[in-house]
Amino acid sequence: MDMSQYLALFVSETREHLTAMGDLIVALEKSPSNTADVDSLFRSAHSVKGMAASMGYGDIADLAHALEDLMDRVRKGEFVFDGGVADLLLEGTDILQHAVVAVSGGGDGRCEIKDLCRRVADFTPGAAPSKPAPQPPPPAPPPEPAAGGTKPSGAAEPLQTVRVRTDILDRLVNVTGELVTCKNHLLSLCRDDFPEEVGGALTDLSRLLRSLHNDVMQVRMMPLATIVDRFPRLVRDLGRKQGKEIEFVIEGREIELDRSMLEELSDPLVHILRNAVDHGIESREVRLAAGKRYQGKIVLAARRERDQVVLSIQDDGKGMDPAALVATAVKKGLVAPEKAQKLTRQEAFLLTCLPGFSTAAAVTDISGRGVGMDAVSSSIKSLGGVLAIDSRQGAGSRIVLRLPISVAIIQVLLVAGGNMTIAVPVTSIIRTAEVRRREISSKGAHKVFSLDDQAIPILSLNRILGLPLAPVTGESLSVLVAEMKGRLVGLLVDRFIGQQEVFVKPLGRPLSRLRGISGGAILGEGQVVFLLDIPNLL
Amino acid sequence: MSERVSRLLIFRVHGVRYGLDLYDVSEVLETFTLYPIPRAPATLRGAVNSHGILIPVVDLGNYFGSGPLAEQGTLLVLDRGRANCALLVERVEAVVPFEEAIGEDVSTEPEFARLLKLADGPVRQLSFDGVVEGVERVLQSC
Repeated sequence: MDMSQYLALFVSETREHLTAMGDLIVALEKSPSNTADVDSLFRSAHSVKGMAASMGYGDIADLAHALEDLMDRVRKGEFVFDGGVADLLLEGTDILQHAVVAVSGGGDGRCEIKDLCRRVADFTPGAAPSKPAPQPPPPAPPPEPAAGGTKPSGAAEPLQTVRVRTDILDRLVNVTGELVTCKNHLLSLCRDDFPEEVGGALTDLSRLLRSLHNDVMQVRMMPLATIVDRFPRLVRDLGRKQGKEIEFVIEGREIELDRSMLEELSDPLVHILRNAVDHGIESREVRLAAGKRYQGKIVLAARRERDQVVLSIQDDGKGMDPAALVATAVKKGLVAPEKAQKLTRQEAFLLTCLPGFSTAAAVTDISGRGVGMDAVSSSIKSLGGVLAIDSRQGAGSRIVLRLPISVAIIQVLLVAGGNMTIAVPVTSIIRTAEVRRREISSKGAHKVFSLDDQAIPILSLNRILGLPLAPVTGESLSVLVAEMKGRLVGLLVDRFIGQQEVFVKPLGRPLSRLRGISGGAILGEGQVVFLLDIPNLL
Repeated sequence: MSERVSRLLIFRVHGVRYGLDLYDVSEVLETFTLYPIPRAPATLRGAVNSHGILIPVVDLGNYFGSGPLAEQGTLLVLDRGRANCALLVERVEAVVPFEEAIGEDVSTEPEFARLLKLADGPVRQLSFDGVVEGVERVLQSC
């Protein structure tokens, strides 16, 4: 019988079971008496065995069977679920993950299982492990969305969900984006003189398009859980390898992001967590000597703020010394000494994001191989996000990532600067203001104006972009207030044109290398505009 | 099934002849409107809207350091599967089969694939990746 038509379903469902098994194993290690988790783990192993057997993947079925047997022994009370059981099960799920990845690429599902099956069968509680602790889990597969956003494609609602290929979702958002561009074109054609009925139809079209856009984006949204659910396992394994005990907490797993954002976020988050385990959390002895709890703590928290998702990764480790960071950056020639003196505390922490910066005394195989926070920072920038770092020596570090929920169709403010029209994502703007000349004063080398009793320095956007400076003639100046490098600044523009919804087009190769722009868009009359990457403009 | 015939697209930049494998070019545009790109160096003359696709334009005159080309030139849109970029050239001169070359020299410069000797004179064939990587380096240094 030709089983190839069922391959995609097998791969997808087996991955779900293996991901669930990983979570359950880590959870059971903390709460071994949770019989519901024991049962769930047994059932998942049983399901994998059954599906693999029906597809003819003998090795996968045999290994899943061995894991199922081990869980059965736990279930019968033969022994308690401990670190030894967890190690064997995790090693098994790793092998199964690799085998399933191979199968999805056309492999025959054969894998080396004899040694592990023997060790599983011979397992005796309390005996020394016959192999070192397992390696960190294999890379997560790309998120697989289920239509309807957050709802898992489980058996609970079999008729209400459907699996959709991700390339179809990408095409859907592209077509919707082009429709938005078309609508803008129509609006520009009908700007001056048109029958009332046309105006009504255009209003309806705009409303329907907004609704279509919302629905399409909703379909693409996936919960953060899609990528973070494997992190407890990752932190556990990394901690064990370093002999560190770490409590890892995830908050806001249900927060949703566009699937393309999630795909790009996974690696940066892994790197930040690895840094926290490797360089942040101290050894048990050091922590106890410092009067801290022996167990370190890392919290990954997500929350929604307007059109942004804010992710923070906080550890209670040794923290960073801004003066030491500045000294290192100067020593390495990454920043000039005179500039270094003027850096704020937040800017000093951001020095860790410069290429080539590393203060780790020794290179470990967990992190610190040279590709560090600069890669993280670059990924976050490419997503239109902002990275901020705060730290206190002895108390720990906190890395905050602010990300747009979606990058496909967004609201921008069009501004005039020099000879061009420039688009600024509204999520980057804190406020717009028409500032009167008499409200502007000098503070040091800067012109400033007061906003909520705070002196905001004014910078010329034309000057930053190398555009001709317009003669200032009017009584008031158009300023947009935004955050750059942790500070509020007022960007002086020639004039505000207006707000518009645009479909963001990726820049591609080679333009993506140009700093300060994050994408392009086509306005109604075919005019090309570029989106400023405000936080990374300087 | 017919075999793909390899052909060389010959064009001029400030009078000098250059070539590109026709396979590297997806479209030739003779009428277009250039829109400015914020912060772009002189190498990037702007961007065009080609059938709803936003394509940045590299001025090969500025890229080779011989000064800007007139905006009334011709755009060679590069293979979109490998890059999103068009080259502004003075004009397209001819398309000839590679077999017409009577000799060739290897190029040591990364921007060029080779120097082809044709009956009517030499043509420096651009390297697709060499040029795109060169532009990336220019943009990165901005």
